[in-house]
Amino acid sequence: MRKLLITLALMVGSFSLASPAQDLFDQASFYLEFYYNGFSTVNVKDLGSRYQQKLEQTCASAGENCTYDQAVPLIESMIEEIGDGHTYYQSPVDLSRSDQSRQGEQPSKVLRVGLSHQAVSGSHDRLVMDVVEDSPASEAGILYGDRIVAVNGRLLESFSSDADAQKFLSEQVQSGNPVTFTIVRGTERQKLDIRMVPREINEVRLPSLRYLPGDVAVIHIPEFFPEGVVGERVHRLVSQAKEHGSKSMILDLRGNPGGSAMEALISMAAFMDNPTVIFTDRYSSQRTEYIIIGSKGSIRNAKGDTLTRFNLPFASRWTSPLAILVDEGSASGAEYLASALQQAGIGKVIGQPTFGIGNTTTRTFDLINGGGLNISFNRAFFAGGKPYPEQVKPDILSKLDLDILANQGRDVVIEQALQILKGQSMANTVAPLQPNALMFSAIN
Amino acid sequence: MPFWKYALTPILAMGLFSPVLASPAQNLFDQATFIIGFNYNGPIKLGSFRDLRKKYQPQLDQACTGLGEQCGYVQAKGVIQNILQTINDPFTLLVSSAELEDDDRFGSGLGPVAPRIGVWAKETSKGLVVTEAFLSEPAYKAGIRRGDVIAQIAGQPATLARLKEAEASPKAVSVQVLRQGESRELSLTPQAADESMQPKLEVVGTTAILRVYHFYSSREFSTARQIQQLVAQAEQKGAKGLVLDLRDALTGFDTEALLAAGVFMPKVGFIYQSRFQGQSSSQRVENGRYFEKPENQEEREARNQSLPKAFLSKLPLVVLVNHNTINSAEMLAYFLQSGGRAKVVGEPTAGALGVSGGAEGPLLSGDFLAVSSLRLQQLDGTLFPMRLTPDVQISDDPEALAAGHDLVLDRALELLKGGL
Repeated sequence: MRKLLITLALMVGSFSLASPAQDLFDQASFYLEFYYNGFSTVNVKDLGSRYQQKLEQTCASAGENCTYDQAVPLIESMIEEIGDGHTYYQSPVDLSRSDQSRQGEQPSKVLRVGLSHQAVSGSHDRLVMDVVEDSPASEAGILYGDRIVAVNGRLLESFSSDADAQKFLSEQVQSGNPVTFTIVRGTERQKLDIRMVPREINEVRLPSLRYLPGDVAVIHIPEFFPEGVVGERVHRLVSQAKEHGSKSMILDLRGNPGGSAMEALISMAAFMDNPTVIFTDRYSSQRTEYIIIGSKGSIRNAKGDTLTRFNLPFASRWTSPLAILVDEGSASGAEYLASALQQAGIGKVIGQPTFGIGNTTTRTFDLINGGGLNISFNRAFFAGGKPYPEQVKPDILSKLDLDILANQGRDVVIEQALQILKGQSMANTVAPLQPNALMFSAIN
Repeated sequence: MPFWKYALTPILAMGLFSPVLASPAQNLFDQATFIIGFNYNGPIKLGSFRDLRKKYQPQLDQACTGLGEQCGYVQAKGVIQNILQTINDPFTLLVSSAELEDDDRFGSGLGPVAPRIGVWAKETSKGLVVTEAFLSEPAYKAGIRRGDVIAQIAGQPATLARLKEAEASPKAVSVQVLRQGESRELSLTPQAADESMQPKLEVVGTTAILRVYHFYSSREFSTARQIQQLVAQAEQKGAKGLVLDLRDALTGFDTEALLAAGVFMPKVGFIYQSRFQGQSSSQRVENGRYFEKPENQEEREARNQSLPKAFLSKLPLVVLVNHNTINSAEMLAYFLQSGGRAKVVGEPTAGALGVSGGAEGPLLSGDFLAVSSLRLQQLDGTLFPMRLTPDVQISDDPEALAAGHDLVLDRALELLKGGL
């Protein structure tokens, strides 16, 4: 008799629990509660109980047919309460896209010329903020800071709103026909017609190198996602810049959202000796130390056993003056790199305080709906045991002025970096010049 | 006075932002109970992970009595083993990372990482009866063969425990080996096996005997591909019948078992039933090509699984199994039996036929958990049994083997001779 009662109770118990929504929620809340190792002060356990109640309300009518999709918004707002940029949900589509970018293959699926642009205040023109490497735009020579004033002969000013201008631009790119942008460039406000054939592009971003007058090289690292690619390319670009005879360098990490910690580490080795990151998990069961010495890297566990060795046959090393640019969009791997260089006293960091997730790494847990839950899993430390800072605070604060960029073709942050580099390379021989004069002469 | 003292407690408690430190035992218990409770989809009713925790937390508390935050992984492992015992399914187990490393090596066509003399043996009153001496390993090289009896190890009566002990030392060990009354003294030095445990073919007259030890694979090595090649070889050598010996065979990848069945059957397949919506899939092999159809998606060929060539054998077939034949090995026997392609002779199998899953982890202790998270079904939806029942039941007899008679094999040969 008693036995029967127990059986019934168990059955009722498992009936009320079994729905796809509940399964997905259970999985997500367990992973969060068990593995979260970030710095949020939110009590994750309480959070889980609170959202369990919300889930029960949401699923009240659907019962055991309550779907994965009904649980997802609750999981997302639960995670939002944690307020940690390294802890986030990815839909199945997002997850497969980030897998693609890790593998270095992220087809755009639509026709693109390969640039991102934004509004210019007081005008419907568009300002080029970013150009994808190996895209029609980069091949045609479009540059960051170019101002698009017309598309296929039609002035963007002639539209009644930014939205209409943007829509027209997109339609022309999507038409599949060649498209001509009229742009205004640089401090001389040179006007150029640039013809491009839109195509499907690889949206994975790679480091690039350009030169500014005064023997200055600029290496731009837009992200650290493509594994086995980014770090090596940074070293190769450094060695190119050296061969080119560059005397100083700007490392532009603005807007870099991060990616692979390994690629960030390999990139560090192009600028400093013995870069090291030590990762600890919440239970200290998987403490690992990543270190590169010369052209040899290794990953060691807590006992000091080497788990993996890797070689950097491409290793190159920049030893001349360096300025590092960051902004509020520089996150994760970009923060690791900037912090390591700042900590080692290599180069000045210029720009805005960074996004603020430079002391953890995220790990992706696969969910039963095909999506992924990314959780702050590791905390990061320097070789001596000092933690990586959450946020990089620039040595010199400098903010991009979009109006100056759009109207005069001048990036004031780059100008400030040039000024500092010039000061460094001439510090021993020449007295500093007037700042204003420098700012103008530097950009030409 | 006592008033404010009590009042203070809740205020303090609210101020504690960081969670109270749990013991390593509690953490491991929480992790393992979730992994088991959430994923388990085997034949018994287990309840949710919450039910599991509710039921076993008192056991953990008891094991941790007096240890507090110092309560360690050992205490939790005891309770986890109790849970696994209740589930009583030879698939759902704690697996060490060393065992997983060996599985990886098997997949590359290598033997285990630890040095050994390279035999499988059964303990009897007369000593260890060798059921397999692996090609290229020390025992085989010294002349030891299936059916030999290791009577003494270093002057002591031979037991499995003593053999293991001798293998743990890098030094040479003397063994006394009996072959039908004749005695020999051999000196064996345990060695880590390189290429070993790959399928082995023997053709005697018009009968081929194919021994398979596991179903692992990797990019460079495939058990199924080897089976395919060896069966083709057997036909070329004039074999008119085949015995597929899966006695003591380890598990491996179900994909390999299915591909191996495809060497004998033009079409064969099964369904992985998950407890989670959208996670089930059907798997099938046709002409050596492997197809997968995830729930609610189109079928697609898994090209990295497919065999490079198609080959279909029509040889009369008998499969041998015993109580150690487990999981993927049971599946191969069952595909052939349920498809009417082979007669199965031997003992009822280990009992992990109808389930599968991967190794989940790592747990905090560094171990992994294999959990029956998938239930197997025929393509028509019929559930697989948990254990395969042979068409002809006959037990292994180690003592008869030592006297030169493999009774199970003899029975299979009779069946082949009689035209099944």
